[in-house]
Amino acid sequence: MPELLDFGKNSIFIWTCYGVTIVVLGAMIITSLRKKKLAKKALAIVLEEQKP
Amino acid sequence: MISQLKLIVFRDLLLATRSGGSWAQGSIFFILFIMLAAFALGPDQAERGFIAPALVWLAVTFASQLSLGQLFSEDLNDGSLECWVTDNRSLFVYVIGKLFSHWISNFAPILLLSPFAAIMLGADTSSVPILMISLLVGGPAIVLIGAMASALTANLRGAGLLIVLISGPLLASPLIFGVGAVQAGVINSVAMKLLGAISLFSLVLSPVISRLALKIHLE
Amino acid sequence: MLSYFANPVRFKTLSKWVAPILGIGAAVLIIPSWIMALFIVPADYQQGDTFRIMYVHVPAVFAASGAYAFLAIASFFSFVWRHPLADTAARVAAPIGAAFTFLGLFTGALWGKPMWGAYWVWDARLTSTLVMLFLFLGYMAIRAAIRDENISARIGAIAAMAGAINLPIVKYSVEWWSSLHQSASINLSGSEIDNSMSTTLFVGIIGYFCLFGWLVINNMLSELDTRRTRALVIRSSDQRPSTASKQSTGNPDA
Repeated sequence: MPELLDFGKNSIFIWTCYGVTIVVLGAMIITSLRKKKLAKKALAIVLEEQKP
Repeated sequence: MISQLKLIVFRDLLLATRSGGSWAQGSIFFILFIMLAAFALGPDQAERGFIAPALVWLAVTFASQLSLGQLFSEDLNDGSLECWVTDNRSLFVYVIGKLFSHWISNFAPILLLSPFAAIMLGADTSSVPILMISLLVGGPAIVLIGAMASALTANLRGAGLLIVLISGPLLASPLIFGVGAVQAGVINSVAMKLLGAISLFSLVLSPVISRLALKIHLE
Repeated sequence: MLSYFANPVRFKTLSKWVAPILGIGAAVLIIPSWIMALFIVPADYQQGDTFRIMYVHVPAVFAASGAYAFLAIASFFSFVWRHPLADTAARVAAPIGAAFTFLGLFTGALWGKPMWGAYWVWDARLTSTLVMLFLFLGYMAIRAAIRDENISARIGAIAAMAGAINLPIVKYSVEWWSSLHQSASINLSGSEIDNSMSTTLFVGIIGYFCLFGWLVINNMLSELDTRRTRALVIRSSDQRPSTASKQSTGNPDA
């Protein structure tokens, strides 16, 4: 496995690129899911409160 | 239509003379920019001349953008724009008139200062005319793009930085071809022609967009 | 008013189908493309292993350009037909597009270091991508600055469309400008592209587009919910205090 992950002297560039991409895309996915959950929850609370 | 145009141009020029010299702010910024650029470069570099066209173009670009901040917002905020529209006058003519008077009162002084700035930066005197021509050909593009951004942000207070943020990416083209035209050194270079094309294109696009934006702000 | 609420409902039912498809699509396309790119695709004979950066760089730039096109089209729909959903789409697409643009620039810079010996060269493609990042940021700034939702939507739409009209011109000027320098640039068509390379790249690009779609739909859904919550809260606070007290006394019974 270690030799599979080793791309010679430019390893660091390749891994940084993939790492940053994963972090940014992952952050976008997580915030998107969280925002959706929170928005749903807030709407449910307000709807519950305003029930006649 | 011509009378409306006259009305707005004379009004604005009159306002400019009574504004306590706010029309000169762009010009002062222009010279200040050149001076600070020279400080940043150091006396040896600043006298070499090869950076003169680039720096003058850059200074003209920024000075013009900053002077455009209040182009439409004052008239929008004090209600004179609304009066203009309710009197069944053309908003399009208003935009054209505004641009024209701004060109005379704010941009022309910057243009007049630019040969001196170029010479201060060590530009060859023979290259100054071509620099002036490039500024005359490309200047409309810069002002028109900035005016578009100014109209979009007309209802915001202190939108100066936002204007540069919006117009900035679009200013790349006139800046590239403007400096390119000076470096080409002849009047009928490709860059000069493209610069003229961008000015003409902006002349079509910018008033239309500015008019649309002002209409939305008036709603 | 009725059609205003009808459309988001229709969008919600549709998104129940489309969002999972896009989400799963993104996962099953992007992850295998990266595994292929890192472990299976052979190293390029000219660039060696550095070539593998292409598989995160090119899809990001493609998705960023696609996002700007999406922003412009959504803005057009929002402006001409005053469609609130189109405006929501445009609004949520901008930060996502900016993030993809950033990724394209970042990976491009890191690709440049081993390739050109410098993190940043003023190459035409990198530079026009940078211009696009500023177009995204400008759009986001103007949307954030204008408080009134309605005006913000219409002004933002104009700004996005003006940017879209100018983008080809900027791109052409930047190409003309960087051609003066004759800086060393990698020529993708020049080097032999292995079949597995182009397939992997293609799969990655489609995957990124799926991810973009999924993010846009998801963020639109939360935006719609938030907007509805806000509308309900404002409506209830507008009501007379007497009704409010009646509601509070009525609640324990229910």
